[in-house]
Amino acid sequence: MASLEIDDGSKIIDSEAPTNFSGVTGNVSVTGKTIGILYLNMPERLAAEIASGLMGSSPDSISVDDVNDVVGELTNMVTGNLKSKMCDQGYPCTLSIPTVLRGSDINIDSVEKEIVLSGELSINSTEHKVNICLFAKLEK
Amino acid sequence: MNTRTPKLLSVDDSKMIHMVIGKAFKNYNLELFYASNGVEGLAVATRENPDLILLDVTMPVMDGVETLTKLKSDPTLKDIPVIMLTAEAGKENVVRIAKIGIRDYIIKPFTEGLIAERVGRILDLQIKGQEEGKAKDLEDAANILVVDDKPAIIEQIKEAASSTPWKIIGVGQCAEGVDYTSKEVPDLILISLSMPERGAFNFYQMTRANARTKSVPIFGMSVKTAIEEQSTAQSMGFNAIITKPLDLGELMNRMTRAMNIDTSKRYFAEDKGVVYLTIPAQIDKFVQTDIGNHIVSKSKEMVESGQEKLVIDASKVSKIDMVIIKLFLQIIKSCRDLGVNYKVVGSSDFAEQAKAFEETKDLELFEDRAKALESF
Repeated sequence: MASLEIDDGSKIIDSEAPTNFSGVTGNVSVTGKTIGILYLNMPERLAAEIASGLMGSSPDSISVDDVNDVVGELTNMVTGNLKSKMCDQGYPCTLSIPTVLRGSDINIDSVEKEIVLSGELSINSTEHKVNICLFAKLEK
Repeated sequence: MNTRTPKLLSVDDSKMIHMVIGKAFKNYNLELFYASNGVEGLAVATRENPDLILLDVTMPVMDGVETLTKLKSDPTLKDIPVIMLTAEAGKENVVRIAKIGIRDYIIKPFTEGLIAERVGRILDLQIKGQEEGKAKDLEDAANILVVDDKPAIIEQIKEAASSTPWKIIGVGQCAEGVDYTSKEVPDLILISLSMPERGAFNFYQMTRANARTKSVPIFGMSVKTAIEEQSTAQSMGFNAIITKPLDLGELMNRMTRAMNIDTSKRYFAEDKGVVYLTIPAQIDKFVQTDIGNHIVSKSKEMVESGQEKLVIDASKVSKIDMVIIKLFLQIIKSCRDLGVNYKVVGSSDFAEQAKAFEETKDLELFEDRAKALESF
C-alpha cells in the first residue's frame, strides 16, 4: 500500500526507555488485557514522500494534515496487527484513535512499563529510518 | 437490463484510505461516496442507498461495530452488503463482527488490486468505456491479447489488424497471458483452445474470476475438426469460437462487434447536408456485412435528421461480382423503403460491367460526385 520495503538487517529489540524522537510520530494506545502504547516515528521528509505517494501529490506540496492522516493510519495498521496477535494469545484489547506528534527531540517514557521494545528500520535502501517503540504491560 | 452505475460507500476516518479506494476504482463505472465516521456513514447510506459499504472498525464518533449493528437493525438498510476494512484481524474480533452480519473482511494494509477484486465479487463492476451501449470508434486504440503457441497465427492477426490503430499483443504461453492481464486489461482476448494442459480453459476461468477482466470478450481459436474442445469452450461461455484456418475478414468483423466498435465512419461521411457512402476498392464478406449492418440505421438516421440525399460512391470499385451486386441491392432496398434519394457514382468500366447483370443493368451511374449532386 505504502510501497515501503524494510531492508534486511532491521529488527525489533528489547531496549531501554526513554526514547528520543524527531520528525512525525504516530501513536495508538492499547487497553484491556494488554495495556500500552505504540509509537511509529519517521523523518518529516519520508512521511511526506509516503503520504504523497498514497495521495497522488508531490512531497513538497502535500499538506501537514494529509501527512498526519497517513502516519496516523499507518500506526493504526501496525498496532492493529499487534492487537490481533495479542488477542489470539489470550490478551484481548481495544485500540484508541491514532494521534500524531510533531517536533524534534521528543523524549518518550512510560511509568508502568514492563515491556519496552524498539527498533530502527531502514527503508527502501535509503538513509531514511522508521522507529517503532512499544511500551506495554500484560494483565495477569 | 440494469445499466445503473453501482454505488459504493466508504466509511473510514482516514482520508488516505478514501484516496486509495478512489484510485482502486478510478477505471470502473462506480459512484463513490465517502463518510468519515459511523454517524455520517448512516446518513449517507440512508440518502444514497448504496449497493455496498466498506466499513472501517476504529473510528471516532461512532465506530464500525456500532455502525454495523445500527445498519443491520434498520429495515431499509439491513440488506446492503458490508465489507469490513480493518487493521485488526484477531480471530475473536472477526467472529464477533461476522456474527452481526458482513459479507467479507479485508485486513489493512491492502492493495488496490485486492480491494477491486473483493468488491468485484459482490458488485458487477464494468470498466469505463466498456459499458453496454457506448460504442468505440475505429480510430480509437484497443489492446488485443492473442495467446497462441503458433507464431504464424499471431502474425496473421497482426496483418489483418494492420490498417487499424489496434495493438496486437502476441504471447506463446498461457502464463504470459495471465501475466499481461494482471497488469493491463485488454479490450479483447483471442486464445488457442489447443494450448497444452487445457491452458485455454484454465486461462478463461482465471480471467472471468478476476473483477478487472471478467467482462473482457474472449474468443477461442480452434481447428475445424476439434469438435470436443469447441463444445467445451461453448459450454464454458467463450464469446465466440473462431475456426482455423482463419477467415480474416470474418475475424475482423467479429472483433469489431465484440469490442462494440462503430465502423460506420469507414464508409459514411457527410458534407453540406449530403451523405456520402464510399464503397471500398476491395469488398469481401466482412465489408459487405459491415456496410449492410450500417445502411438501415444510417438511412433511418438520415430521415430523422431531415437529410434525404445519399451519394453512393463506387468509383474505387473496378470489378463487379455477386458480393457487390448483393450489397447494392441491400443499399437500394433500404433507401427505397425509407424514401432516401440516392445517386450512384462509378467509372465507365464499372458501368459496362453493371449492364451485364440483371439486377444492375438499369442502374443510373454518374461519372463523379459533382455530376451526381447536380442530378438531385
